[in-house]
Amino acid sequence: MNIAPRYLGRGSWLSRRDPRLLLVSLALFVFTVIQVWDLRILAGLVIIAALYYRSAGIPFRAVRIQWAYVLFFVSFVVIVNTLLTGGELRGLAEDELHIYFRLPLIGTPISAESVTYAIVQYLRFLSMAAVGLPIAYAIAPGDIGPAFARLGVPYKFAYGMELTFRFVPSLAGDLQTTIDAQRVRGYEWEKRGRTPIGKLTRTIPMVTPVTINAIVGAEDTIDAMDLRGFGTQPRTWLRQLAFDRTDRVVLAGFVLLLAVVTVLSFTGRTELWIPDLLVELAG
Amino acid sequence: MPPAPLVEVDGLTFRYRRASEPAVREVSLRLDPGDVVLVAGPSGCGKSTLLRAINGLVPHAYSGELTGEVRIDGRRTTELRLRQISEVVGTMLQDPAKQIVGSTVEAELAFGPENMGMPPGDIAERIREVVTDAGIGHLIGRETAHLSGGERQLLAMAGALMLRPRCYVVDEPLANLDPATADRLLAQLRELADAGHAVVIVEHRIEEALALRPDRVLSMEDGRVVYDGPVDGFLRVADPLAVKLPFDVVLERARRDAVRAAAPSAAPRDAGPARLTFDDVHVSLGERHVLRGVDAVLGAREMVAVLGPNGSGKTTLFRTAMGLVHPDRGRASIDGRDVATTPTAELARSIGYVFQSPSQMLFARTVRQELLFGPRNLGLPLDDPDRLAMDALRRVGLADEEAILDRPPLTLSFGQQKRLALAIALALQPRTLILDEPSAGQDHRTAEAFMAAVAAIPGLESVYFITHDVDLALTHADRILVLRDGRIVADGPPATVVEDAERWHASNLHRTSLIAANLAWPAARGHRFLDAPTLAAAMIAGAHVHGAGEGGSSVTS
Repeated sequence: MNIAPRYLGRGSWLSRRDPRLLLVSLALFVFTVIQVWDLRILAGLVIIAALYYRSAGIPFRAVRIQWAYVLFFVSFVVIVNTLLTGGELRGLAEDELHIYFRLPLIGTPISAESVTYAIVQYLRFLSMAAVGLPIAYAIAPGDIGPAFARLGVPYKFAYGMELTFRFVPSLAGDLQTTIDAQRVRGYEWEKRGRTPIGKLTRTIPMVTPVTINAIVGAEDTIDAMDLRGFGTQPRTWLRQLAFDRTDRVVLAGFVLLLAVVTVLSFTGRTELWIPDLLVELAG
Repeated sequence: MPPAPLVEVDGLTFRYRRASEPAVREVSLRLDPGDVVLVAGPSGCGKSTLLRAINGLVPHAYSGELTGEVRIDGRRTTELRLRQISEVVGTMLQDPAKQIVGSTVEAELAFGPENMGMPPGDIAERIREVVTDAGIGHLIGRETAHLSGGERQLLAMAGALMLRPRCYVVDEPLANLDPATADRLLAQLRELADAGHAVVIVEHRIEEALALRPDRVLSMEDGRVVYDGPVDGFLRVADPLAVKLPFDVVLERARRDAVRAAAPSAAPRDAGPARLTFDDVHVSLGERHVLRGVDAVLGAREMVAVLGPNGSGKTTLFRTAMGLVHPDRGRASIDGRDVATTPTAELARSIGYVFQSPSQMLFARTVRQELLFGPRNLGLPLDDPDRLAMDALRRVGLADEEAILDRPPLTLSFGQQKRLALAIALALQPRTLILDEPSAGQDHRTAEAFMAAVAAIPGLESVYFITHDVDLALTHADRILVLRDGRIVADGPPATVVEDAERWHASNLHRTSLIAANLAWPAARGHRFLDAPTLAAAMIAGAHVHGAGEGGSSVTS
C-alpha cells in the first residue's frame, strides 16, 4: 500500500522556508534549551517554541496521537529521572532541600527543588518537540534528502532519510492491511493480552507478515535504485535550495538566542531557580 | 566485421546462491536495435532471472553460480559496473510501487540522472522532454503516493526513459493495470521499438502483449527455452491451457486437433436471497471520496465479478462489506444484519475474505497453526484439529502435498500460498467468498485452475471477486458489476454488460477476442461466457450450449 507522507503544514509560513532552516533551527534550539535551568528563561524559550510550532500550521487534530506519545514519553522520562531516582539536584545537598514528603519504600525526597527540576525537564522536552515536529510535517516531500545533502551530510545518508520519509507511511498502511486480514480471521488484537508479555505477543500475527513483506519489498527497491546507478558516484540534486531574507533573519534569531543563553550560562544566570510559591508549600 | 549485437545472452546458466537448481539453463538470446522479444512461460520458469541477467542484477546484485555470458555492446556484464549497464539497459520492475523512490513525480524522474551526476539544469530539460514524450504532463507536481496504479506504471516507464537507454527490459507490466492503461503502455513501448530501441517484455497476458507486435517469442519452461521464433510459430505450438491466446488461434488449434465439445450443461441459476446489500454507500479514505452512492444487492447463490479502472473503488466496496472501512453515509448489510453494528469476526462466519496477497496474512510456523488460527479465534469446536485442517486443504487441492500440515507456509509456492489463503478462509466455514484479484501474480493455467478449484468447493454458495482480467470475469461470473469513479455504471449478465460498448470502453475495459467470439455465438448470450477451449470445441461441434463451461455448475449447493 502506498501512502503519502503527511505534509500537514503545506502552505504555512514555516513550510515556505528553506528546509535546511528547520533542521538547523532544531539543532540550535536544542543546544540553547539544554543550558537553561531557570524557569523564567525557560518560559521565554517555550513561548518562542510555541510560536515557531504555530507558524507550521499543523492542525492539532491530525497530530494529537503524536502529541499523546510525546507526553507519555516525556512524563515517563521526567518521573523516572527526577522524582523516583531522586538524583543529584544540581549539586544541592539534602539539607538544603525544601522537602514535602518522602516516597514510600524508596525514601526519595519530593521537594520544591525536585518538583522544579521536573517542571524544567518537562518544558525542555516539550519545547524541543514543538520545534522538532515541523520537520516531519512542514517539509515538502522530496525536500528532506536535498536539505540534508546541502548541509554536508553524505548523500547516501541523505537519501536514506528521504526514503525513510517516503516509505514509513506506506509501512503503516501495510500494517493496517495486515490488521484487516487478521480481523477477517476473527482476530481482534486490541482485546488480547493482559500482561506486558501478552500485549507484546498479541502483535505477532501483524508484525510478522509486515516485517517479512517489508524485507522482500526493500529488495525490489534496492534493485530499482541499483538499476538507476545509485551509490556508484557522488550525485547531483535537481532540487536547488537557497536561503531567502526571511530564512536568514530566522536563522540569525536562533543563533542570537543560542549566543545569549550561552553567555548567561557561562555567567551562572541559567541555574535552577525555585519559585517562592513552591518553597512556601514546604512550610 | 558486423557490429556487435546490442545485447547478447550466450548459453547462460545461473543458479542462485542458496538454490539447489539453476533458475535458467543454457539460455541464448540476441537483441539488435528495434527488436521486440516477448518472453512467455509459467510462473517460476526463469523469465525474471533472464531479465536480471540482461540488466546486470545477475551477478552484480544476486550472487550465484553463473556459466555462459551476457554481453552489452560486445562487453561482458561481469566486467561492467551496474551504472554502465544502466546507461544502456533500462528496467521496469513488476511492482512500480516498490520501484518508485521519489516522493514527487519530478524527484522520481530526476533520480537516475542525479545518480549519473548530471547538472540540475540538464535534468530539468530532460524532464521536460520525457514528460512530453511519455504524455504524463498531467502528473507533474503530484506526489507519487497519490498516483493510481496505472499512473505509477507510466511514471516508472518515464523514469526508465530519463536515462535514454537503448534497450528496455519490462517485467510483467500489465499485471496490475486495467486494459486501457495497459494498451497505452504497450503503445509507448512500440513507439520506442519503432525508434530503434530494443524491448524485452515478460508477460502472462499474451493476447494483450501481442498488441506490441513482438518480432519473436521466447517461451521458457523449467529454466530452459522451449521455443524461440516468430509469433506465428509460437501461436501454433503454445498450449492454450497454459497461456491465454487470441480466440481465433484457439479455434484454429481446436479444428486442427479435431477437438469435440463435451457439451456444457449448466443452466442459468437463481441468484437466491440477498446476501450482501449496499444501500447508498458513500466512503471516504482520507480526503478522497472513494465510493459515491453504491446501491447493489448480491445474491446468496451468485458468482459476481467486479471490474473497473484502477482506483475505481472495487476493493473499498468489499472492505466496507466486511466492516473494515466505515461508510460516511448509507448502509451495508450481510444477510440483513447491518455491518456497522456487527463485529468483523462475526461477519467472517458468513463471508470469507481472501486478500490479494497471501503474504499479508501468513505468520504461523506451520500450515496447521495457520489454518487453526481463525477457528480458534472464533471459538469453533476443535475436537479433531488435524481433520478440520485437512478438510480445508482438501477443498483447495492441497491435501496431497507431502507433510503439508507441518510445512512453514512461506516455503509454499506463490500459487500454493494463494490456495492456502483460500483454505484459511474456508476453515471458518463461510457460505460466501470474496476474492480480491484472484489471478494477480499467477500465470494463466494457475489462475484458471484456482478459479476452477473455487467453483468446485462443496458447500460454497456464492463467490464475489475483483479482477482486472476481463476474460476471467466474463467466463467465471453470472453477473458483472462495473465500477467507475466510485459508482456502479453497469450491472448485469456478461453479454448484457459487454454489449454496451460505449460504457465498457469508458470504464477502461476493452473487448478481447474471446468476448467478441462469445457475443457472436448465440448460445452463450444471456448467461456466463464460455472459456476459449470450451467455446472453440462447442463451435466446431455445433453443440447446443446452454451456459457455463467446466466448473461452473458446482458453485451452487
